[in-house]
Amino acid sequence: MNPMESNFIKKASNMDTHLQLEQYLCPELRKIVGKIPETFKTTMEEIRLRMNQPLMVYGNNQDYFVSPTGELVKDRERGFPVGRINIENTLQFISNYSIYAVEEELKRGYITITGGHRVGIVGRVVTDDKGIKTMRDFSGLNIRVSREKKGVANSVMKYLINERGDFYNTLIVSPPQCGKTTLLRDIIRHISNGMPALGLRGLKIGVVDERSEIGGSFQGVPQNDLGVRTDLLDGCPKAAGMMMLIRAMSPEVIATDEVGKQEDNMAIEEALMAGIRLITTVHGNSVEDLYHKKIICNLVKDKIFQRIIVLSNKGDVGTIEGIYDGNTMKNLIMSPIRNRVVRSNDH
Amino acid sequence: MIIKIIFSIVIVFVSTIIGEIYANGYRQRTKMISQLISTLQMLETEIVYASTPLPFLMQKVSRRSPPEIANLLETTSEILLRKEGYTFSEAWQKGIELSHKNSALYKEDLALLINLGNNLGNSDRDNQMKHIQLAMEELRRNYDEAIHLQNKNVKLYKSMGLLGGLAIVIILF
Repeated sequence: MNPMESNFIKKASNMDTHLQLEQYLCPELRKIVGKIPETFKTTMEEIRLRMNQPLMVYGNNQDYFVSPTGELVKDRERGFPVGRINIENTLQFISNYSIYAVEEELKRGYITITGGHRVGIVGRVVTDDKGIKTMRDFSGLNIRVSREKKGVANSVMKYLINERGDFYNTLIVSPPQCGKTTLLRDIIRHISNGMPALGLRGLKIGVVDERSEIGGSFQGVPQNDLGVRTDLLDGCPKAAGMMMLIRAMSPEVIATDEVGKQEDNMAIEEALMAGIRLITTVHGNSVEDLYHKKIICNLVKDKIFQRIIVLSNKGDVGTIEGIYDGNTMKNLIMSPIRNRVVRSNDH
Repeated sequence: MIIKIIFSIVIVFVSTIIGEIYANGYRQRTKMISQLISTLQMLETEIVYASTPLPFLMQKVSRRSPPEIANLLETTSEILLRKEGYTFSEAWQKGIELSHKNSALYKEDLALLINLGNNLGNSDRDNQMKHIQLAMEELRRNYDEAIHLQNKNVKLYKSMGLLGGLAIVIILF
């Protein structure tokens, strides 16, 4: 097969993405980040603010300091030093001027903002007898750029559907930062919208998004396109959420991120009993890794998952190393599928 | 003769009105402060029970506030929603400058408001509640002072206006 076919990804409006992001920075940083070369900004993955340390950005698998004129430098002395005021003001914009309104988010350590971008926050944590109460004296922010890559799953979908147009239980195995959630999100969108070319009608799909990563919800509204037949439970613990969906929303497929706890097992069994298809992800480098994880190992041994997708970032982020048949453990693709990223202005 | 009488009436009338205007300044201030206190009460409720973010909260509360205060809240919220990079306290100060140029409030009342603006939004709910309650407490103190001034001065300015007018008439004619 041709690994190049239909595997060109259109990046969703890059210009808008960083303009949208820059709005959340304090005016001083906004100016500096605005001067970073466009070519880098389209691949930028993180902006890091640490108190009394130089401003940093991360992209292309390496990090750079940013000079006051927006140059990317390797010399830390030339980087723009971030002060308390920069962090505090940026946090004002991120929290919509209202720290009290994001108390719940501070307890988890991150805030999701419009566009599904995520801001990680560190500072001094205040605890009481009930656990973490809140955070104050903020000392660092990590702004993670979310780029919805529609189309990453295009070349994968045909392996996940049988000849009757039925969806296989699928497990995505991947090391961190390899596009696991991105792939899951796109598969969800395809299942939900249906793919007439593959004989897949749109299925009702329930998503349990414990860490608000799949939908990137901002005030309860998913910022990413998850398709028309998708019901999203945002911020809900997986096991409880799966049960809720089974009872309430009659889904045909349930999608969730990173299963692995004992109680997840129960919920998965419940879902399978109700005839619901599953798609989920797990951390790992290969199929062999799965056998070291207790819960997942049992599920794999019981041949619950009919398809196992293994990702890596060899070459590019989101390279699909293999798609295994869960019954025979045979790899269904001849060579790894590379995710070629093509910039496009025609949308 | 008739002209003289008309002229005298006009003079007395005008000076009474001037006295009334001065007296009114005091009454306006007490009214404004008491309205401010109830607006802050609404702010507190919205923050503590609904956790509404400030830009939306200001819009919401402004709809239930008298025009002068609504103006301040709306201006601030507009500045915030434009996302030009002003922090909340800057936007709030601007709002106060724009909407209270000629208000009956004294400098010390406005200083209280500006001070509150420096603290709004940048801490958790418990802390916000304390800041707002502190501001309300101080406003109440200003209110007592304003009432005191009002009682003392309203009558004074009113009678001064009337008597002053009469005095002018007597001297002139």
